[in-house]
Amino acid sequence: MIAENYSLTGKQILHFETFGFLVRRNVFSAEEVAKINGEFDRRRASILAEIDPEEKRTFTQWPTRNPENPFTASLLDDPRIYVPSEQLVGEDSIPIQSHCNSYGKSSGWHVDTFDRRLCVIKNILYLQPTTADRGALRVIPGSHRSPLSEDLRNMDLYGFHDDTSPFLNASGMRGEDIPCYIFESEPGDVITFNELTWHAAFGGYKDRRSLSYNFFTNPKADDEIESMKKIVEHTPANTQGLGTVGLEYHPNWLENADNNPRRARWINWLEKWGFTDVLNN
Amino acid sequence: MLTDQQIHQFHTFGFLVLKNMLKEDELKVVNEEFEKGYTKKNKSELIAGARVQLNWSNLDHHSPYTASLLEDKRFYGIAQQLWGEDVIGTNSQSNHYAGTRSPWHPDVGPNTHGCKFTFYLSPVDAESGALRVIPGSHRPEISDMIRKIRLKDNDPGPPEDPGLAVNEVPFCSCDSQPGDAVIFNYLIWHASWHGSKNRRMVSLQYYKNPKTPEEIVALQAHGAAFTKNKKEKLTVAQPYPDFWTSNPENSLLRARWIEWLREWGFMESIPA
Repeated sequence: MIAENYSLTGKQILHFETFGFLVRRNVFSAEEVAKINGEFDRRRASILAEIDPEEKRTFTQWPTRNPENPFTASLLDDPRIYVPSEQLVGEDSIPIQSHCNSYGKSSGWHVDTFDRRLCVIKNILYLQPTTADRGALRVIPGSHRSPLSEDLRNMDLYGFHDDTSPFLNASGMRGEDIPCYIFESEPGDVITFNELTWHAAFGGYKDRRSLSYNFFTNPKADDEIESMKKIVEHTPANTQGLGTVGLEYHPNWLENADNNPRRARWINWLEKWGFTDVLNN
Repeated sequence: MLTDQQIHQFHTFGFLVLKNMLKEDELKVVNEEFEKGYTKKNKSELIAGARVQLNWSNLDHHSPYTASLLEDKRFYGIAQQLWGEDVIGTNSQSNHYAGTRSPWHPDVGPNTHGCKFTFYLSPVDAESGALRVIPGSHRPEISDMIRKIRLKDNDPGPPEDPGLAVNEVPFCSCDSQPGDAVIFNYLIWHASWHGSKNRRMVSLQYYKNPKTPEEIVALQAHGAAFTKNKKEKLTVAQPYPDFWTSNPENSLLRARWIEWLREWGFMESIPA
């Protein structure tokens, strides 16, 4: 059954703040997931034909805001995504990146940012069932907080691939041995996590799929503004490193033909901060 | 003994699962001694609400082998690695659970340091009563936040907005086979879910010798809390058995522990 009230309860918000993540079940229906997967199939096929016909890449990512996958693009304007996000990061928060992700392998333990001046969250919708040994996202509860976050960093756990984690190499442990919560899920479930939270996924396989929508705090304090400036500065290199294919903000999305006021605010902000320049060029 | 990485892991996450710590022949004796203790135990002395728990000391004549494990270097040596050379072995208990869950809780309040080795005598996993822990929750920064969450067993709340049930809290399951030991920091939040009505667990308990003023005050408070627990039937007052306190083999280690237990006021009864 699909929830009709998209707002998070106080209990859910406290759960997110305490553990650094929140799971919502059955947010999207099987029919909606089938539609997303259909768009994913077509878009992935056309991208691979164009840039990776031999399928050598282990990770292919493309932005959702593209008319070639209209339903997937529309999810950013869907209250099931933006209402909880605004509750967690602020009513004036901004979705800077939203991606379709096709992974070819596992992801070792990592955080998406070490910068705690700005709050950034990521909503992830997995498009296939996930289990502990087949791609389920793992998170270390509370690891967005100091000093656990720093302890994990100091113990040299970080390694996007297992063989690059000095702690795992020295201890003989596998990434799967690190204690955590395992988000076993069905398509339609959504996990939202603070990008400071340590996470990983094991049992990767070819074309493991997800959609990700991140929301950033609108910076106000000096340190937040400074942090956002650094993000703008580093974004081109990061995007290039990930090999993201295509424009983050398609002209069709920027056109905002329906005059959606929320999207207009986002576009205005993205232009003001220069993201439309750095991510579209 | 633990490797440096295991020590780091214990202090980071608050627990470790150690495989095959007891051999098959040892397990056989521990099981036999458990059965003797269970037979002898007054079944009306149930404690701890939902756990439907019976517990008794292993430091008695019916379980000499299990009692000896407290002084076994395999265990107290690990406790020394974690809490210092002067760590204190304070107790060994057997526990029988007939309840289907243990609500989330840490064993002690802030600044009381030590660890418990638990040996489940049958295979357990997340859905059959294995110890569930919230990794890292021995840290005050996380523990304090968890205290703010309404947990159904502690504070049910209104029907339309009930607190979180045991299985709604994110956890890591310490799945174990007989012979494995789960060692955890007393401060970590732990629970269990869907246990059988005949779940059996043996524990060894060690305390850090308090050094800082905060640790000293906390240990004193722990004694007071123990008295409160007795009143709330979270534990049953049991004197330390003569079998153990008489120290017939004149173990220097045990003599030091007994002296410490006297000094800190624990000799009148055994902290759970």
